[in-house]
Amino acid sequence: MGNRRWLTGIAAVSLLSAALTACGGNGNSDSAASAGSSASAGSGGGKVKISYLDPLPSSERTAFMQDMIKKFEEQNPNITVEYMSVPWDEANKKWMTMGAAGILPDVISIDDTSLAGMASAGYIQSLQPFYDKWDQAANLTEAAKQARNKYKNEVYAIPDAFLLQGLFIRTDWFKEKGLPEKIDTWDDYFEDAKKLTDASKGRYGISFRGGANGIIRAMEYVMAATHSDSWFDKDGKSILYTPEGKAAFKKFYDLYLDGYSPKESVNWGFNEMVQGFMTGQTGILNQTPEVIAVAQKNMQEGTWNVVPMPKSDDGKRYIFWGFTAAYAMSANTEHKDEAWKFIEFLSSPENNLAYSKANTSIPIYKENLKDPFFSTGPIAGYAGSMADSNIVFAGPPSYLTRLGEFTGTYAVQETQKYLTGNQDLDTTVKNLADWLTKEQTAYLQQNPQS
Amino acid sequence: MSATNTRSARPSVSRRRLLRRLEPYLLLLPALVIVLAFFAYPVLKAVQLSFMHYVLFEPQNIAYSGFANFKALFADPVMPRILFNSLVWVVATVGLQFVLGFALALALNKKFRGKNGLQAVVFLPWAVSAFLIGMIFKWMFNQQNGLINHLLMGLGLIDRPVAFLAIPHTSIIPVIIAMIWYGVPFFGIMILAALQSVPHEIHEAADIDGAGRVRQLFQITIPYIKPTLVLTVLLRVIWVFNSADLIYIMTGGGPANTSDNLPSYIFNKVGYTTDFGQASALGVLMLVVLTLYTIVFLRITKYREAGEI
Repeated sequence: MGNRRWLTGIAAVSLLSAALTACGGNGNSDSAASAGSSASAGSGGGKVKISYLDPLPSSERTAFMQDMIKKFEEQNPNITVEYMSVPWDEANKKWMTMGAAGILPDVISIDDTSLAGMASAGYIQSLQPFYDKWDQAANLTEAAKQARNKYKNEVYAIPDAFLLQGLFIRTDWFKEKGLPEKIDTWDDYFEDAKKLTDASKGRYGISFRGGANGIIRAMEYVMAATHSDSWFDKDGKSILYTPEGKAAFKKFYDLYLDGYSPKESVNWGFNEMVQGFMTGQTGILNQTPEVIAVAQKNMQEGTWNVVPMPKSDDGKRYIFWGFTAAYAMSANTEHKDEAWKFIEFLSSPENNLAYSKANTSIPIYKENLKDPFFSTGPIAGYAGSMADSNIVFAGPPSYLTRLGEFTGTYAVQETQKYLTGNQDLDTTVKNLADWLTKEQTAYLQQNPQS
Repeated sequence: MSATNTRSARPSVSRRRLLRRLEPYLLLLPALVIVLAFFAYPVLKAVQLSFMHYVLFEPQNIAYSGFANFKALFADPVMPRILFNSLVWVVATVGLQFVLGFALALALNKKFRGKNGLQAVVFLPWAVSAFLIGMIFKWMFNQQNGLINHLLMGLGLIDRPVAFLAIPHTSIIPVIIAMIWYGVPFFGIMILAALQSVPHEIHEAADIDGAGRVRQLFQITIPYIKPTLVLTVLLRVIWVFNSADLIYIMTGGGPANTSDNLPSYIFNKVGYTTDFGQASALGVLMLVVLTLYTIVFLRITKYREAGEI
């Protein structure tokens, strides 16, 4: 009898805990882990303690950042900086939960997609007063000045460095097929994809991104094809409604439907695309500079290179550049000046150059771009685009707070239905355009000035 | 003097009585506090959130919204597919895990050379992290470099590699296979432990009475270990129903949600929408479904009378 009751008790408890871990897993519980420390700012002895949250921990990067912190602490003996980190895939949730709980570290590195949401929620504060007085502001590149680090025209973060798309190509495959080892125009891109594909050998032209955020790549092409610098026309209607927009959408997804990319790539995200290229399944990979290090480690020298993104038929490059770890300041910090000092230190030309080299990303200063590091080898495929004056910023509408939902879930479902033949082109394009237009209209009503 | 003495003695007696009456509750208090803080509070909070518009991106716009979250869940056009997937996922996974686990336990309940070594090996999957299992199976089912395509091609069953994880409506099957492999040892361990508690004398007596192997299995062994069987199936169903990790790693729910189950769908969705209200509504719904399931399951299997033969 007692035994039976005990077992029922165990069953009940297990049921409860199993159900709870499933539904509350990404809730408040994870913010508590590393948050407590940030609140305990040093009060004794005039020594100020600030905290910094890094969303991109890796053994190399963590060591680099801690080295920076050490140098900063040597220059500013009255400030200590505590380094904290959160894995990238969890970072967005972590910022939001910590922001909601009012326990965000003094300085956080944040990406441009989350910036608008964090700023509008009031979790991070405007850096405009500091930026106005900053002596380095004039030396920034045009790309840095135009960066999406603003909310309601005020600067909320100082970009760490830029990432942009470039095309990784299998130069040996290009040689085999007698193709020039570069991709000048989008027409070349589609033509090369076709020529490189040889399904019998398991070779495909493109590392296609059918999973999360794949729609951003498609929209880049739609913008280039329709010569538009936005996902919307002047009236706030999606460019996908136009016949040219729809045709461009179809042409881009035909890369998959016509078999120029592995069938599995319908689910591919970042890791799978990169693996597809590294393991010799695909000949062209559209990716950011941090992949260079992975390629250097895993591929034979002389079999690959990076070339700039193709130009549209009007001679312009419609590309999207962004930052992943710009320095922002928590709205509830008690040490504004110290936090800015730390941001200023990390953003100095000297440290920015070292940082950009360490991360193989594009620096924020004009002078730094002239460094020989950025004019040779694969990185030149990126620096080249940024030095070109015929450049149009063609990024996603990151001011829409629900953009992440669109690129991460809604567009994935819709395009995957289209790619697997479960939904026709017209419905797919209309659904996507309707969703975007509805959000844009709501945004324009709330923010009439822009 | 004496008057004051009795006056002071009386409260002390009653206080002692009160203390004695409270004693069990005081001793229970620490456990109660833990249960309240870690079980009751989150449950109540989840119930509260499920009736609220609570999106992290809109901190100015948090308010009670009635049944809006539940309505949105039922209005979601993908929901029927997801519920169907959840059902297939649970029935196929737990069913096969149970059958294979039972067979494994029966096989290991005999004495033979090298039994300990074999036992350690077959129970190994249970000790491997789900993440690793997901990655390994993902590679095994890979179209270009996967082991399974290689074997099938070698056997001449297919003439070109199949992209198992990219076929709509069936891409959940490789994930179920991985999940079965992962969970068989759990049933094996639990059932083996129960089998070892079945007294030898009963089987010997049955042998003398002329009962065959099959009859012994169904009329002695299974009734004897029924409490364990009921409980392990009950727990596995709950765990499997709530598990999303392998799906998340192997297919990400794709293509077009055809391999999503309920938790993986909502996990993915909430990760991008930060809509905690809707996530809580789903959590509450899952709690209700699982509680109903538990009650019905225990009734049907006559758990209370189990184990008495």
